[in-house]
Amino acid sequence: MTEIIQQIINALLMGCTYTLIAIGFNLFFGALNVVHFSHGDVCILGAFVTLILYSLAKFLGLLVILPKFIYVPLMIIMAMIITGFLGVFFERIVIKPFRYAPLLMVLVATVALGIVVRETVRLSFPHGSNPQIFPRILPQHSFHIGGVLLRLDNLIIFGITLFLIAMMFLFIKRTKMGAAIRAISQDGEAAMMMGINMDRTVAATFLLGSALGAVAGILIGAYNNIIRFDMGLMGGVKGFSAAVVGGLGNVYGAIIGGLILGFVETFAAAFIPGGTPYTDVFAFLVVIFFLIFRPSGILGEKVYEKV
Amino acid sequence: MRVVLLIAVEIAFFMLFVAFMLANQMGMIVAFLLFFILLGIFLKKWEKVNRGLLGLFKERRVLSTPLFIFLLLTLPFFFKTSPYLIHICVMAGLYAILALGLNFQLGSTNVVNFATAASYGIGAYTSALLAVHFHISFWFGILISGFTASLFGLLLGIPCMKTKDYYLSLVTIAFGLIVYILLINFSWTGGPNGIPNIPPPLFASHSFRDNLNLFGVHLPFQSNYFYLVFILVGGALFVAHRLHHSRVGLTWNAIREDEIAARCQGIDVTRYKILAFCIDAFFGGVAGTVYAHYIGFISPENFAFIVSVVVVTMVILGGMDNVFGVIIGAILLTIIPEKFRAFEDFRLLIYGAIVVAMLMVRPQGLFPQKLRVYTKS
Amino acid sequence: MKIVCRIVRVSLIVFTAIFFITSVGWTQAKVVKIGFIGPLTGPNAAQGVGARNAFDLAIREANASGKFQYKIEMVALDDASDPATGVAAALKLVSDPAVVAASGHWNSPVALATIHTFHTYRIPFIVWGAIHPDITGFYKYPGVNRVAPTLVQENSPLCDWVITELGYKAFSIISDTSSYGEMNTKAFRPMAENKGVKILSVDSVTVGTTDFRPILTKIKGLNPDAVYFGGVVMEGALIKDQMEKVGLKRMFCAISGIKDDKFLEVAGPSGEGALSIKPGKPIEKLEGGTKFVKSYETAGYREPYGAYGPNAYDSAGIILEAISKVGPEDKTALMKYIRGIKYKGLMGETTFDATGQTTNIIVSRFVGQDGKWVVWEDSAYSKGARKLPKP
Repeated sequence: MTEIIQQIINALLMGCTYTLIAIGFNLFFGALNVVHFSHGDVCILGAFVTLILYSLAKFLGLLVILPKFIYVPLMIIMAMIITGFLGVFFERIVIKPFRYAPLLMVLVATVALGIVVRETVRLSFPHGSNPQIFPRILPQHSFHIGGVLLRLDNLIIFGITLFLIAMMFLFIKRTKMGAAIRAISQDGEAAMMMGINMDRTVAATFLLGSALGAVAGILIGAYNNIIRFDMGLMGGVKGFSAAVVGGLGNVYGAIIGGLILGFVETFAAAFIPGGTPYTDVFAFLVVIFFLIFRPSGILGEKVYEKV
Repeated sequence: MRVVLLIAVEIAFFMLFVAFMLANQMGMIVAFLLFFILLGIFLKKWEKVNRGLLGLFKERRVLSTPLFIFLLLTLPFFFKTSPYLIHICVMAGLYAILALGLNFQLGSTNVVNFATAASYGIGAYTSALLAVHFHISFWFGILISGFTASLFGLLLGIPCMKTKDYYLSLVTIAFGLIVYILLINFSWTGGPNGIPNIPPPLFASHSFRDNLNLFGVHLPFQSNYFYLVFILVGGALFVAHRLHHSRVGLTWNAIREDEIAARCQGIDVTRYKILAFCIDAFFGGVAGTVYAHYIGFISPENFAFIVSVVVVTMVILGGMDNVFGVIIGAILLTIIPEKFRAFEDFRLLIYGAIVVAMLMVRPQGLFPQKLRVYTKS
Repeated sequence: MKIVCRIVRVSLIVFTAIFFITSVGWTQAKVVKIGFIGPLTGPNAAQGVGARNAFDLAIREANASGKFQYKIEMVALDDASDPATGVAAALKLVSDPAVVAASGHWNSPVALATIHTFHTYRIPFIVWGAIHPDITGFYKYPGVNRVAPTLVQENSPLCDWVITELGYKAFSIISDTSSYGEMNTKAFRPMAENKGVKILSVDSVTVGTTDFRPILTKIKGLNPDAVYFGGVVMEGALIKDQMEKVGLKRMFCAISGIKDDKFLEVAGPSGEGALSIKPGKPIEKLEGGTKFVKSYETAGYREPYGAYGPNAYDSAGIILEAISKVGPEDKTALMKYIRGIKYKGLMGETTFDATGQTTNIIVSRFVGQDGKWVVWEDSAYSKGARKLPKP
């Protein structure tokens, strides 16, 4: 029994990481009807940025001066800001030029951008092709409740995910910029006629989405203790799958999609004999199943194509 | 006089190409490349010269085409001391076949298919397994694996029919990844170690692993594959060209332009899209078979996602829906990275950058699709 | 039209000229090349680069000694731990007529792929690192020899140590899906069961997996004494770390695949108490070892020679001795000489049996202590000051 609870915890945590990536996809799709295939790489880029900040801090001797619970959130926030702006930069290069162009272009351009980001990361780090050690920024304590092992870092990851989802939700629903994002997602032209600055709103969307993505990357790094330059590819594909399964354009969909994928993978590894190497296959089969029989996802609205 | 000019120009370009390939020092290579680029720009600027040359080639097609083919056939003779160069040409040819296959989907129908590597891999593994375990000859193997790959294309096409655009690309990516993971994990496919010792093809008791003796000249064994690939590329080119100029190609373009309008015209969109998938997969399977028997060893790493992206890059660079352009794209993107082996590390980065740059600056590719001519005016 | 003619003519002349000028540089001097293939990039780059440097040192010393009338050159190629890349590198080497012999590989899958190429082209090949038994035992190519012991030769002392000496009786096996991992399981399992050990579970993981929590949680439920891992550094380190994280605080052991500083770096504090075995003796205890270390340092290589430097150094030494005795022309004679050699080098005395496998099988035992690999006999654990998880 405790084993099953333990596995559920494993699944939840895996789901958290996918959800955080999926939120970004949802945001971009909802606002701009664009799938930013390189979002996964931006997330991992956030983790690498953190790595750089950490090394810099270590080099400057700051780590000895500041206590962990100060410099860790500080690093995370700085990484979020940097990645956010990088995200906006990428948007300007590969998405803005194709705003009114056929879908094909954005699709291929973002895939290509993903490759460029991955390779740049790989080439900029010494031994970039190898996994890089991610600093242990979360507390490593654990405690038992009724035979189940709970770890502080897992709880923190879970908590941060919920917090960020809530924050994003509030932002979209309660702030002016959030309203602008909702407006351009409904009808871009009408929104512009209402006086909304399209460029600035899109930039804000990408800032938000990429910053959240950075946190996803950091949490992935903290959970696994290593990051690899090509995690972005798998992460992006899985994050996108999670968003699609849950329903593109719907924030709750990201949560559901992430959870579903997390559970499928964990339980495939744990309970299907010899299933460990095939967890990804199971996850993708589930995704393909959804795409065939319910392409709008669990919570998505049916999209009708207008002639 | 014009005939002499034609022959001279063809031979000149050919010699330039040979010299470029044989060049060893970085300085020479860069010099050649710069020359070619300048030539290209120069031809684009001087419309009259461009049209004059092209017109000349078209006019004397009876002469220019066979001469061109003949010159290509002599390549192994020039490269006989550097078998590595012939190897590059063989790989360029294989990628050209892949690019031609993808062109049906990406170029003609605007379906972004990232599963090319999967059909390539399925073709390679099918033929390799048949040859190693059941001793089936290469020539049967190539047909069987071609059809197996098409079956895969069909399988891939079905979920794709219900999905659009992004979802479709996601499905193709997922399929590609699934095939890759399955190949790595199934023990009967050799797992991550792949299949070693794949026998070379036999043609009338001449093994393709042996050196080729033509007209008294000893050519390295890669020349066997060179000629084989040459014939296959020719065949692929022929099929692609005919398809492009047939109702099928027209239908694909119609689907690309506006799917709903095409449906309203009575076109069975599903059938044609699946046809595109199957043909693409068939080309991939054939190319994969040749690859397997050529290198003699395959492993799942050869068929990772990145290979699909590379082929997509070739189509975008060369020209969407332009059969010749796609071949040029494939050749460029195979030969140039090989000449710049020192920058091997940056290869993927440069591919990605090329795609982004091309899409921004010249999305139709280097050689855009030629407008269809309906009447001779 | 006239302009076109002129341009064409001028370009033709110019480039024919260049063509002929550069042809001067196409003739080459007589050079004897020895190929080296190893993982110079990728997750095992540390091993490959170190080995390459040691190989290079041997060749430099040979050239400096003046014993050879021609220049010996190393051609170092990367296999990136990937069989396909390795085969491409092998093809490149065999198509170069100046290459007389080659040495290669840390990863067994790569070696299993390339030995056929070297055999077909009759180029003598010495394996310096890959330890899958089939490389020599199954194919028995006369031109292929190996200076490193096979993993069967490695697993046996590991079993004696952890089962007989330390008393662990119930194991869970985790291996990676590569042939290295597969063979490890195939070798370890019967050996352990023969000694009365119960194998509670056998799992395989793909190289590149980062999350082992589901499978470790499952293993925790089975309550083994110890976990045996058949794989390499990265996955091993992550598994050891995640074992701590899911509360599976049991003994962890593996053969030389994990014996690398990177393992302890990645596993962090969780790496404490990991057991491993490595063929050969620590370099200071080897004959000629201190001299090698000094020469390596003086030569100024950026990277350490790593665990396989001595192997590569000896491989180069064997090839060089063969060339000096039989000359570089006859490759078959080279093969014969190498197979029959009695070579005294950093690894001790190396001779090859009928399948090309070395008969030299000394191993050292190591335990992870305070972030460093410490020889077991010198460690706090063997002295009782620290304790491993109980069997």
